[in-house]
Amino acid sequence: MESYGAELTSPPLPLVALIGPPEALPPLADYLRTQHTPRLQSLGVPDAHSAAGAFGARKVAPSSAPPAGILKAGWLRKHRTSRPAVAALLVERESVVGDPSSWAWLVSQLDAVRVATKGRGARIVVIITQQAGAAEVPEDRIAMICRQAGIERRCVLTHVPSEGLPALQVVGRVLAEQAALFYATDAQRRLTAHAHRNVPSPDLNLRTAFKLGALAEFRADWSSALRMYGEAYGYLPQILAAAGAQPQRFAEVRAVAEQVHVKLVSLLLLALKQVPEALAQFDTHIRLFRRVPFEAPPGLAASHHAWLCRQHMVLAELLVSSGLGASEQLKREHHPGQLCLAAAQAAIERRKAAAFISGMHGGNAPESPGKVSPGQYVGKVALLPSDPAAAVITASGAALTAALAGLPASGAAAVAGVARRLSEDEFELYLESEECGVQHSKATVDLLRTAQDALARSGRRAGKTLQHCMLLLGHELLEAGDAAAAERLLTQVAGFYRRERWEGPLASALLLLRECHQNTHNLAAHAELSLEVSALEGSALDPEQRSAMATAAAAVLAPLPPLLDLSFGDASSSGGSAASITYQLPALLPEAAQQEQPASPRAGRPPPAAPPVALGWLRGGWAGGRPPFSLAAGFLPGRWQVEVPPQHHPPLLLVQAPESLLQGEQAAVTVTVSVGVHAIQGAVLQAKAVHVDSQQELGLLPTATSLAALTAGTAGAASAASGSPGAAGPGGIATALPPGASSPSSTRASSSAIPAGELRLGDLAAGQRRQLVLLLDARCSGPVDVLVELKYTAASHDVGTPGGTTMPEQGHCTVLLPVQVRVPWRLAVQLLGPPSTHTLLAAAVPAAGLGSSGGGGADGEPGALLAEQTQRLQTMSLQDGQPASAADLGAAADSRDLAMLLLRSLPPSFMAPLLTAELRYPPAATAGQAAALELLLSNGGATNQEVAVSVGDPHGFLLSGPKSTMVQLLPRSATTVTWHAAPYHIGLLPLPDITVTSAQHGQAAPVSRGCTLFVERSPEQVEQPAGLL
Amino acid sequence: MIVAAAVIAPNNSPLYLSTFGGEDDSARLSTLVHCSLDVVEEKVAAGLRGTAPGDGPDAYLGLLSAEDELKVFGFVTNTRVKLVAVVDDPVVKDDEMRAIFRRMHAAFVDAVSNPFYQQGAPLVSPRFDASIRTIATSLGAS
Repeated sequence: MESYGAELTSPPLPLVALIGPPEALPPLADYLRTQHTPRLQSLGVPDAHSAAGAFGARKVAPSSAPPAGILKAGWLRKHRTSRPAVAALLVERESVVGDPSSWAWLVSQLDAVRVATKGRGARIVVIITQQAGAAEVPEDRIAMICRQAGIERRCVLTHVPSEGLPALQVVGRVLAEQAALFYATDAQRRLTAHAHRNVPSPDLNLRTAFKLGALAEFRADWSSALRMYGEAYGYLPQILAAAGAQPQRFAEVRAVAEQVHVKLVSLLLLALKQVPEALAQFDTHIRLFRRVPFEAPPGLAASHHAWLCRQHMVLAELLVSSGLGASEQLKREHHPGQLCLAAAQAAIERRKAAAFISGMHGGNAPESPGKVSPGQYVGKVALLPSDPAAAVITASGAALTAALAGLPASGAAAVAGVARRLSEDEFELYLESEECGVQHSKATVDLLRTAQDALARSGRRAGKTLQHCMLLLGHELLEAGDAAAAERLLTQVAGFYRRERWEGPLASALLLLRECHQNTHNLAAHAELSLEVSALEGSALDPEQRSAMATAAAAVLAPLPPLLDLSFGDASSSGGSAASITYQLPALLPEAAQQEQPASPRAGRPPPAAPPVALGWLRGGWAGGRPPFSLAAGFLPGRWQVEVPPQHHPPLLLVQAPESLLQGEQAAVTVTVSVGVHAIQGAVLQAKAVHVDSQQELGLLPTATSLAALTAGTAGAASAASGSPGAAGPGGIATALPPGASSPSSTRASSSAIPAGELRLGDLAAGQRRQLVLLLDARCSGPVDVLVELKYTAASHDVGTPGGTTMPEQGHCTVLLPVQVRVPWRLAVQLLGPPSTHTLLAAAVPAAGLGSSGGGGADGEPGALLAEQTQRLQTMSLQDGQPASAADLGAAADSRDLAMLLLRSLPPSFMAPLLTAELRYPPAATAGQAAALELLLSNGGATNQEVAVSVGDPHGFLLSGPKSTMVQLLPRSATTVTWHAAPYHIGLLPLPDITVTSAQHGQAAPVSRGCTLFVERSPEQVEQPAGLL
Repeated sequence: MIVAAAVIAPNNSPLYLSTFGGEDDSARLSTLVHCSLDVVEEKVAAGLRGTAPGDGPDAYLGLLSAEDELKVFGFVTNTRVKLVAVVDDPVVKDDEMRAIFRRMHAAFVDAVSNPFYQQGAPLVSPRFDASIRTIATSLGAS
């Protein structure tokens, strides 16, 4: 409740002005403030002549103009702290019974007090202090004092300080009586004035009722105060309905309602102890203002959520402060923990609205329309001028002009008028700028922690609500950037929901946990959680989203192996400048039926009929400068160029990235530089990602860890990553390229300028390996080129010198890696891969004979497949446009021969059954009793498979289970479809017709064909004849 | 009208949960139902009482919780299976809800009487789902 002033959260105390010598006031003031009942606040005034300003002047008559607002902002504070109800004049006995000069001084003091209090009708009490044992003050003098001050006899007291507490009690009782009298008179005067107003106005009705309530509180008349505050609150629905769609007016009404509500609830809870009435008032209050009654702009919506948050927190704190925090009589939604949780939820909504505002302004805080200050009325704000001095001069001139013209315009009013009312647009801009200046995440996290503590300490069953609170807290911690804390919390929450088997909340927790892992670059955990979320049918995600998520996760966990690993051997071993190249390339060959057959050297002979698709692991060697494959083949996942440096052993540049990314997420791109025999110096790495369709450059920035490793020079830690230089991690496409130093046929990527993303690796020793992780911001869908270039100076080996001198040599490596960014709901369709990769229930092709060299087999045999691959490799070499001389052509021919000779056999698992269906059923069953039929569907491949299962004629069985269903099989997974079949015939019955169809491959299998089940009689049927006998 | 209906096993795992307010609200309603189980447990632990002296225990638990315009009502069977309904009607009578829960209970009994149904398994019967949807729409229509 620190957001409220004390005037709202505590009952007001009567205020008394103690006029007298400063040394005489403290004992009385302390007694009134701490010991007397009721408590009284006091102001010290040293001399009666300076008391004029303390009491103020009464307004002449209420203005007939419509009110500029509902409640004056400082009215309550003013009456609590600076407008005394009673003027207590402390005089010594000598001043009353002394010489004429003393009496004259007393008379002047009395006159000054009388004049000062006359304006507002404050009561006067004269306290004559005297020593113990002194004679009584003559009655004639007291009568003269009464006549001079215009007060009654009982308002003149004789006070003996040495008598202690009893004497103080007498003074306090009189002061309290006079204060109550003043407040009652003031209330009556206000009521009368309000009754004489000509213009009925709900605003004025509310204002008067509120003031009457406050004046009743001053005199501790709680029931009257409650009645008047309730009446004031009763005008709010009418005012709210008349406010229309004006944000400023709504904000004012809302603020006034808040003040009246807080007064009501604190009165009910703290003074009257009427808990049910207080909670009913809270419910009414929230029901009235739960939603903005018109379409609220974002600034107003955010401020309204903040207001709702405050209302819940205030009630929670009032309940706790009144000792009702753990009360069993509270309804559940009124428990402090639940109220804190509701406040936190409002704060979350506020944070979202603020984020929306920030997004509207391009991530920046909107600029405030000017200096805005609270206005004269509750809930109103005013725009101050940019140059206050000039505005004051202008306003004073206007006031002077008005005064000369005889108009009643005071200078103060004119100066006050310098601050003008905001327009609705300016008000919205002001709210937006205010919201953007708040630390929303911290406030929300604090609220949620408070709610968590309150729920845990409530002593009531709140385990599930507590988990929900922790889920929200984890979300907010994630939003605040504390992914580690969020992960700990969400792991706990997810475990709870797993045990309870509530899929909806579990999916929410898992999605957040998945985001945590994404932020911490834990790819494997991210993919595993994606699979778990995609398996939750009760989640809020639709099937397409879950399918896309599963496919993306499967692609990460079990990717197709399009690995390319290039390494250059020792140049001296192959002689001259030629370099031997070995590579491993599991390549998806194009489907024979759909692609044009390459030119066969065996002209006139029809090309062999190859299986639709094959996976081949090939090994070969090529002469230096000759690419081992061609872009024209079209089956390689990327475009690249190989350039063989003539002098030094180049470093190996390896780029790894997920094959497919989800739009809107970030993906890790790992760049590894492995230095060979020769050290390199001044290595500079440049990386960028370009969206191919729009040529827009996407973010590709190093992670904080990589940057720190670069800055600190801790290459050892970064280079200690496991795995060989050419091995791709899970889900990665690895592209490793040797650098080119002199070839003019450099790639288009290497010839283009790389403007940004420069990372200085520095000097790398021979054999050193350095790894960087870059984050690719995949915000655009479609193909994206990741371009990485390494420039360095190498200390090369001089071939002309046997001793091996070194000389500096410039070199560079370039890698262009295309990746695909998918829209999540289209991913499932896109990633299914070649449709004929597998065949349903395919028989395995014998692997025998594959070890022979290519070209020797008959059509349709594996040998023919090898021949087909060989032809394709020949085509690749011929289509490469580099050879320009006869020597090059000869080298190309050599490479073809070499390629053909070095073909190796396909792996034994080639064409193994990939998609199988197996029906399991018991050998016998009993009539009338259900038996289980299980269909086990297994996918041994690396792509998703969709299988339709349908049931035809049941053949005398009563079946329960899916009649027709589609089954999604993730890569290398199996699933079971189960039916319960209750036979109602006996004997040898054929099983119900069950057909498994893979429309993707045009295959269908009647899995139950020929399967029979012997059905016996049930025991009752067997026993029945015996019973009849 | 009823915007969500749920059948919850004695071990608090959901047997059936259906929302009728749109996809956007399903997660919120699911969480609301789950949190309301705290109140169910509290009320069941406090003991069920009849509506009048001498009556048997009343399975109708009444209002469990309220959040915004949504009110959550509960019902517990003799086998401690909980039936929960979320209502967005600001004014709903207990007698109405009691009748609604009796109909839901009857539909639940029919569903678990299926010889193919295994105790504790999720209720995926289309007939049960249709019954619940009919009951849910009947509250707003009546």
